[in-house]
Amino acid sequence: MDVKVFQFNGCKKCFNESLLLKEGAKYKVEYVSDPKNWKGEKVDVSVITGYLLLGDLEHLQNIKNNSNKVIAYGDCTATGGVFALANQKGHDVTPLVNLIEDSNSVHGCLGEIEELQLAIEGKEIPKLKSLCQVCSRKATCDYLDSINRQIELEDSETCFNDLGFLCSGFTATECKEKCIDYNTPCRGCKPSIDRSGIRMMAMFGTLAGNIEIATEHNENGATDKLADEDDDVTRSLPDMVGNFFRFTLPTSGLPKGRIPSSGTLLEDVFIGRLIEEVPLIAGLLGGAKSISLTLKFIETYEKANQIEVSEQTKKYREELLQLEKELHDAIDKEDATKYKEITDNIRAIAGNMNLSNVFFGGFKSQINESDNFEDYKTHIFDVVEGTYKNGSVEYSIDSEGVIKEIKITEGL
Amino acid sequence: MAVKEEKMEKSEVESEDSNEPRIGVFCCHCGHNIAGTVDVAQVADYAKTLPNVVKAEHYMFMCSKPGVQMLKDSIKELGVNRTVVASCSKNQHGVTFAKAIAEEGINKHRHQQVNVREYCSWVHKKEQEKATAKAIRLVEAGVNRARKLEDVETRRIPTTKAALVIGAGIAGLRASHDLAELGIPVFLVEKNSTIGGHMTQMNKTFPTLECPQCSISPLTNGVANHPLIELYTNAQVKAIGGSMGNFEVDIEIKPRYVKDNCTSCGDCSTNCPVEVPSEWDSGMSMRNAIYKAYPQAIPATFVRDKKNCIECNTCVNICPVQAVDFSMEPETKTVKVGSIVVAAGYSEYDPTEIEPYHYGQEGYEDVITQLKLERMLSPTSLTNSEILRPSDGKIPKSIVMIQCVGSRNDQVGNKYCTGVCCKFAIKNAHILKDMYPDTDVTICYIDVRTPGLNFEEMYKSTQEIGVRFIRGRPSEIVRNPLNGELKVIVEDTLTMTPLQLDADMVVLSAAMVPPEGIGPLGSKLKVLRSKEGFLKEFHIKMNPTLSSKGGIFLAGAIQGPKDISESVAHAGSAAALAAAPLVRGYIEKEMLVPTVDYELCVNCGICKTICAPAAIDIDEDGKPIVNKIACRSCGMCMPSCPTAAIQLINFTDDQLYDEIIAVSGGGAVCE
Amino acid sequence: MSNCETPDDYVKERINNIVIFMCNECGQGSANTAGVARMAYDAAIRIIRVQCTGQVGPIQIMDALNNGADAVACVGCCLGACHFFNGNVISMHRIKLMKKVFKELGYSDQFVNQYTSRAAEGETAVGDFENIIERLTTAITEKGTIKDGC
Repeated sequence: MDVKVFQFNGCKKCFNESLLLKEGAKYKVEYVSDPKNWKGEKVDVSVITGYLLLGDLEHLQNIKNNSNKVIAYGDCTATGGVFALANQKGHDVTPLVNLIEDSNSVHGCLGEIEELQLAIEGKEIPKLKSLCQVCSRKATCDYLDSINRQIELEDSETCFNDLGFLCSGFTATECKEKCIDYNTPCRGCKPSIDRSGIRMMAMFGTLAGNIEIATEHNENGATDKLADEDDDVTRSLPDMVGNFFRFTLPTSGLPKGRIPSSGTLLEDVFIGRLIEEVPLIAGLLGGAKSISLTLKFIETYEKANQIEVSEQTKKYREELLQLEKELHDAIDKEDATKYKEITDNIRAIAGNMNLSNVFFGGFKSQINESDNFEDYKTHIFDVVEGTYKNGSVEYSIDSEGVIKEIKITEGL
Repeated sequence: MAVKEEKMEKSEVESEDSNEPRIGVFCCHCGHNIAGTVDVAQVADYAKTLPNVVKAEHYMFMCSKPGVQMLKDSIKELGVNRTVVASCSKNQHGVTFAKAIAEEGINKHRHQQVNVREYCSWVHKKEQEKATAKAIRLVEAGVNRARKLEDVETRRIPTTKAALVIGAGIAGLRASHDLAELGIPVFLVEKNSTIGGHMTQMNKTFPTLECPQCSISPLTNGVANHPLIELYTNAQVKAIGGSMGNFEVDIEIKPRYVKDNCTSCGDCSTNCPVEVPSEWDSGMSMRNAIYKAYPQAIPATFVRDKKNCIECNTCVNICPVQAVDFSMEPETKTVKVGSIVVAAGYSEYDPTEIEPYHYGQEGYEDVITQLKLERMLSPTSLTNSEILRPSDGKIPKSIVMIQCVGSRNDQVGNKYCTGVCCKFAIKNAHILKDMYPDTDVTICYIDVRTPGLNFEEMYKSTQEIGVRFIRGRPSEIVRNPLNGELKVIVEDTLTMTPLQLDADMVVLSAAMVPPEGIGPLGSKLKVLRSKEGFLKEFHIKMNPTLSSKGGIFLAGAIQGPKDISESVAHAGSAAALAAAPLVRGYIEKEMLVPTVDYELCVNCGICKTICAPAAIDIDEDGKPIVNKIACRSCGMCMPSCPTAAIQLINFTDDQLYDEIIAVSGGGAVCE
Repeated sequence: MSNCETPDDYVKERINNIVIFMCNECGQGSANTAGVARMAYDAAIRIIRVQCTGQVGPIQIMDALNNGADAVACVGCCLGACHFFNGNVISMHRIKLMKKVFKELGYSDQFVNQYTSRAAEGETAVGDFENIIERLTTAITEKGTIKDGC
């Protein structure tokens, strides 16, 4: 059997991960990083990675006509992924199933290589548990007193949602990346149900049921009605699209966005996002440059707002940057074994390939074999309005911490 | 102790009717009412084209005998197993048609009523074309709904013929008595060592100025001696399980340390060396560590206050019948009842938090509440019914009453008007002025509220005997540190004059607030509380004596501040409602309840949080269990569930979707 | 824009299907009373009867909007009077979040609303319906419908 992996648009994180298909060498694997100029030859299984635009249809047709099986690997191809947040500004990132009907999908951001292998071999992916069932925290789901954008974590048993801190674990499937293990709430990259974003919104709205909401008098008929003005509920969720629909915007059931575009597609992804979510988002879509991108976002903010960072943290960050260089090397050489070794080392510090553990002021959870880690385990920081610039990344946030402008000059 | 509930698996309610749906659609003209605006024939023609519709016709009056017969005939002749009638509202004739199909052996829940009259023909008289188009949409939605309707069982649940009454104040006593007179055994549980509640603490009741001890005495004796009433004093409800018609209640009885053979001679008390302020007397007298709350207390058995007892054993030795027994232990009794009446009463608001009034502070002993005043006036008081200043025992030359203490206040206390304080302040002012004609009695009020027969007259006569009424809310009570004299600072807002009233004694008309311990009691009962903290009634107008949970009824001030006559009426209503299912012997309930798909459930527990009648419980494995009897079929659990695991029968997401796409016209907008 | 001569025509052409979820108690009660009193309102209004507005979730609302509805509203009992304690309040919270999402996507937030009514007063239902149409008209005039520009 032979397999070809095609990378369309985006960060290449899943494309790089598919290097692991070469390990064990069960079948012949070839990598096509420029599918638009691919001639077209018969192939058993075609794996598509990266996000798709409507204009990619003809190239996809070409691939489909030449393949026995087409598989979407990773959220970008399967459901639109993080890049689909640009659809909020009128872009048209589309899932593969909307363009090629007869295709399979492997979800996740990062897509799980084990699931891809099963899909390639034609085996069924076993039914998985829900994320809540493997999480160490237990939910009671009582009504909330407030919705919180940042929380100080005091134990590892209380569910994030019980603390007013949105976690979409209820509508997510058990996964490998497990952001929740690094004190980062789930944002639903492997949904367990259709329209998971809307269902999570319904649930969270229910939990918020005791928080005061703005109502006003309806002049016609003299009764009360829901008011449109901002209140405690809307003020504590300034970015619903980014938090509830981060990976599934095209399949969410919502209409396409009509906010005017501010620049490139990548920049459009970031506009409107919240500063405390930026490290994770940058980690999600930085691909092989995710470490340097994420650290650029973080370090410029820390410097401008005098957020102390310990020596140990600086050391770990240096290590990560070094690992990133080695990663490029391994990818260029298509060296699967080296790739595995390096990504394991990255996961040991940053938690997972989404860099869930990396945050303002340090790291979110314990890194093994570190002394005095308590010094720099951090979760809360001040939101300060301003413009932050660091080399190829420049962004401005308003007083609510929402990104208003951004310029990323180096290509990703 | 929990009553076993069944887990409702999804398969239990799978439709037994595995035959394909055969729908009969009947469009009513209703004379000109519908046909005058909506083209009924066109609607029926359209309905014929819908899948699974085997019969579609229109008729002049569907609710008439021949009209109803059409439904029945279609079932008999064409095997119709679901019906849709497009006519008036479900409230009007939904039952008529449901009953008709039930008579032909089809479950009555397989009828779908479509309202094309109140919702269509009557409100769009001038737009006939649009009205017809809308009626077509509504009928298609009805057909879509009918297609997936399932059988719903109506279950008859036998009830336990017994009732629990919590609280033996006037409301609880009345409710117990009324229930017992209907032949229902009653378990009456009272937290204190004596029954009668706040009413027995009063000196006189308005407007007749009767002695409340005398008024209540036939009732307290009646209850204490009634063969069907079992009285537990010094007792509290510890746990409640089950649901309406069949509750199981654990009652914890604290030891009295005095056995039932006590003759109430009082020797123990007379010889007890310990003296503490009497709670029942609001601190206006002293009691001993072994005591009876007041002379006429029922039960007459004495009780020992273990906390203050020094265990000198004098009482043990001196008791002529050896009734004192220090070894008594707490007891738990489990009872099975069909209805619960909550009559836990109220507490008097504690004005300590209103700092400018200095209640409870040193130097301000003469600032008291109305309840303390009642105790002073009472025939058994320490002061021999004289009004004496707590500070120096002298008769006050000036008494100022302050109204709305803890009521009608946005900053402290509560926003509501208690509604009772004006009446009892006026009553007490009248009594005081009669007793001490030379003493100045002043009432500072915001509004005087004396509705009802005889109260306006009482207000007038109180003014006539010289009680002064000043419209103004006092800002402060000040004390002269040199001679301890108190002055009440108030502005007379009618004459716009600032005043400083001499006040040898200040009486605060404190609000009625929810009783102590209401929080734990409310959670044990799993009933909802109003935002003011009282137990919330089912409907403020139509059902003020039913709580948010079936089988639990509210009697008296526990539902909101009220006076004695209102409490008695309220309690009578609660007793009648509580008795109904017990006397009848069963409850009939439609099992319109949710089912849970345990494969989809993620054990988050939100369904339990959102269920208002507390009909969903989470077991040790985290699985939700629906109490089919307590469930009120509201469906709120459905959108709350993140994975749509819980679905209300005949209102599932799938069924609602079918109705929605038909009403909204079908055809996707964006992807 | 199609062959419309005035902005009013444009709007009228676009309001022909408004789905209203009315609760079993006050919601449908007020609509019934309005019907009995023969109060007239726009034929675009279509009523779906639910147990409680708390039973209606964003999934149902999006189903309606994605299948032809121009706007959706829930009409429940007055605040504090919900027969199931707080279904109307919970529904308000969910709808508030939906409004926010629409706003974030660049649409008007007037496509979904929650109202209250009184069973014995038909004018409260009609008042709610009129307000829905008023708001929808403003929304369409300012920002277009949900269907435009898809």
